[in-house]
Amino acid sequence: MDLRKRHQLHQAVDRGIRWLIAGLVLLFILYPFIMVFKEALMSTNHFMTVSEMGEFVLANQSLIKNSLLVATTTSILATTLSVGISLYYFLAPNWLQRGLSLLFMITMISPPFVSSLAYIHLFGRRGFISHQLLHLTWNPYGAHGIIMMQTLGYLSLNTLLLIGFLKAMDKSVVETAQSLGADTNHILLDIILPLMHRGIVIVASLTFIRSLADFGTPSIIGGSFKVLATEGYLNVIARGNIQEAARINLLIFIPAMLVFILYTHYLKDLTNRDHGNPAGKFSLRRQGWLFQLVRVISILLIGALILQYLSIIMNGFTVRYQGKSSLSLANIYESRPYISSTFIRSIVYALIAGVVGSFLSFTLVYYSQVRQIKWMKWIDFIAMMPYIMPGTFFGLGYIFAFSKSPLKLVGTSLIVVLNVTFKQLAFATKMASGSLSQINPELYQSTHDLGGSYLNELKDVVFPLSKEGLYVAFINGFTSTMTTIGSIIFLIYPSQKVATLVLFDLVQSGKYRLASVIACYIMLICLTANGLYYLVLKWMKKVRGNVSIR
Amino acid sequence: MYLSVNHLSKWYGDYEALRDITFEVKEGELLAVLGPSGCGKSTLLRCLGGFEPVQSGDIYLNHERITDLPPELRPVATVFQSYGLFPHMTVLENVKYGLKFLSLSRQEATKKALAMLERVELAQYAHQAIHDLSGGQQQRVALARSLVIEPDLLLLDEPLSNLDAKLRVSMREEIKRIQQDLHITTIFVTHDQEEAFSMADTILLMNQGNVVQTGSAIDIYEHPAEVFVLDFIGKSNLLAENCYVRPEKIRMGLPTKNQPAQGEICQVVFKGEIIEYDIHCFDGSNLSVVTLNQSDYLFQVGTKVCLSYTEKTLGG
Repeated sequence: MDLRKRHQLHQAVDRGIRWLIAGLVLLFILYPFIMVFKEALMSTNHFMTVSEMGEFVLANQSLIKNSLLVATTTSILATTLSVGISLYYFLAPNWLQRGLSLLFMITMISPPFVSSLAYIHLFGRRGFISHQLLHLTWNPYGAHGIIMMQTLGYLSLNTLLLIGFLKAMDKSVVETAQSLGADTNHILLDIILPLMHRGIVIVASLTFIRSLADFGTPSIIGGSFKVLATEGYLNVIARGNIQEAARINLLIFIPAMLVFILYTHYLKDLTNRDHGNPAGKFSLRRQGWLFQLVRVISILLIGALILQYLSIIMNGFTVRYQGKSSLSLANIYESRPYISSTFIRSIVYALIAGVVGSFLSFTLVYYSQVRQIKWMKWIDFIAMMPYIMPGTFFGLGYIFAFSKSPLKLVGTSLIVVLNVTFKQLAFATKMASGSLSQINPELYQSTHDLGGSYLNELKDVVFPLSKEGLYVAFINGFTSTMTTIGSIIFLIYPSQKVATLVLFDLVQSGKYRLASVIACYIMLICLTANGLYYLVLKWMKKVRGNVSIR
Repeated sequence: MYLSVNHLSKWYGDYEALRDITFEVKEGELLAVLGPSGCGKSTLLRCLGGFEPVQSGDIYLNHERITDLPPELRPVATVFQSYGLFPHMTVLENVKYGLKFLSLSRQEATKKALAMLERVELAQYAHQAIHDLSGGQQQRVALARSLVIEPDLLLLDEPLSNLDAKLRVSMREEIKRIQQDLHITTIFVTHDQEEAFSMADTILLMNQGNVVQTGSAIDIYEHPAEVFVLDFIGKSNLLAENCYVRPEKIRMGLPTKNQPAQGEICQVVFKGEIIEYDIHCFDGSNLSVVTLNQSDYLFQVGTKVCLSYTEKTLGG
């Protein structure tokens, strides 16, 4: 083909891709988002007045109070404790760091309700610790249960994030303090904690948003203690009042959005200031009251995390007969009817979401960040929105947006796949942004200089040089799809169930042992995917090493 | 001796980063550790600062064995390449930080820190944030912060590498002035020969984890111990296995009756104050010659020249 014609064709395709991505993001993120607002604020034939809004808020005052109480307490607790563990991790010897990293990775990629399931198993009315060991009669259900389990549930991700911040810290700052005579206590208090404060705010914000949107934990162990998220969920499932559900989700969205603004501010600030030398390993002495304190906290919490997962595994492999527990494979046999095609479907959905989501986000970020196309920055921003939307908010949006023709998708598998794919764009675009900022801009110029087009930039520079980022985005998309529930719970018809929904049904109907088996299966699949990712990464590094030697 | 380093060795797994390092430094002396990238000079500095444990050997400072002391207990202060300034503290707070471990009252500490800031001519910036300062100013804050605690030994890791060429020259003089004023024993690491020559009393030259030669700038330049030193320090013409001549020591002239031509100029590089010539000698060898730009006459490519020089022997 003539060079000029080829160039024109490439330009047209390039424009087409841009418009296609923008159209998809607008249709599958912004449109459902607007529809929730519309449905929530539309009262029969007019928009809600301010006084109607006031009345609605007043009517749900106690729910708002409960939600804010749980979210605030959980964020404070989960953040404080994860700061403690991350500091302990940083002072720990190498072998312990490796073990802890593995533990946090495993506990981070777990399905929902695992905390609640373990809590019921250990501390429930017939719980292993509360009933069998301590012979206690207490009510495990209520705000305390939710806070405890959410705190434990968010611990791993928070700690991993904070470890990331610590690792990015300028090593020479800490070593300078050492050389000026500061001991471990002073270094932690005067240097590391103040420098971590941005990371701490980010982690606290994320925890707040996640806690506010979590309906699974309160619906299982909340008992009579109701929060906005559970009410939003019950309004759809039990009462069929989706307008009320939309309004409640809006109530969750507002504080989440405010906290998100704080989050983005600190995140931006953090990237601006991040110009230190990477930390590597500190050689701080493991001594001082602060180190002892974080050590005790960490050992207790790490113990709780291990106990939590062991209890799930044990629960899956034991049966109780005449008051006694014994090892058995009975639960695995019994779980077979619940699995059937569910797991294949879940894996297929997760694979599609992982692959499409990662490529879509990298292409989108290429246009907004590398090509600096102004309006694509808005599309990029819209793609970030699912980050702050509670899962049920996003799911409701899909019901409102895609229940009428010509866009009638409700009841199809496609709507579920689209939902999980576009929901994870928020994380994947962040990943893409970090990954693409590592690419030397001159490579793009060289592509054009040698006769390439914009399409070649994508094909020959962006994708080949972002392999690692693409893998991470894929694995995250896969894992989050395998473990997600909030956004798809309203979209899935009984005949198209995915694994997390089966798990949720089993927990709700009190079949905890079978639920544990399903939870184990989900964990196993996610761990296998993550394991494969590490093997691929290792292999890639080896190949790259060989290339550089040559 | 004020600082004695005896048979120091450092391994990273199978890789020997420092091999049996031994040297001494007098009180108030400024020693430059010079060497190419990866020769172990920064590792040596980190071992002296206590940031890296050593597998064998001893470090004595002021007659006290400090080999196993952690950094916070060593009377040694380090200024890192990236300065290690605390970004969440002001200039004054940075300089005061080390004083809080010396049981001084707050007022005394402030007074001392301000005095040190005055010495480095930064008193007017005392209450400014670190990121408001220029690179050179940040360098001086880092220096002031290490000096104010009056360490027995000051370590500087490539202290000028983040500064532009002009600032580097003025900071060399500044550091030297402060070091002499305070009579503080200092070791600084550099890969820049000019920096080492212009600042140091003594130079310790390293290669592949070994100390290759120690001595004054003149010693090292005029009496290189081995081929590596000859190659690394300045330019040279290796004539035979152990014989060499520096390009500036060769006298070059037009041939006469008594002195026939020995070679022909094949390249001329005009560098302003000096001129570099590449000569192809008639015996098949090549020589590099450097002359000062003193006369109006410039030898041209193709000119036949006669040369005179005295051969020197390595290690001699």
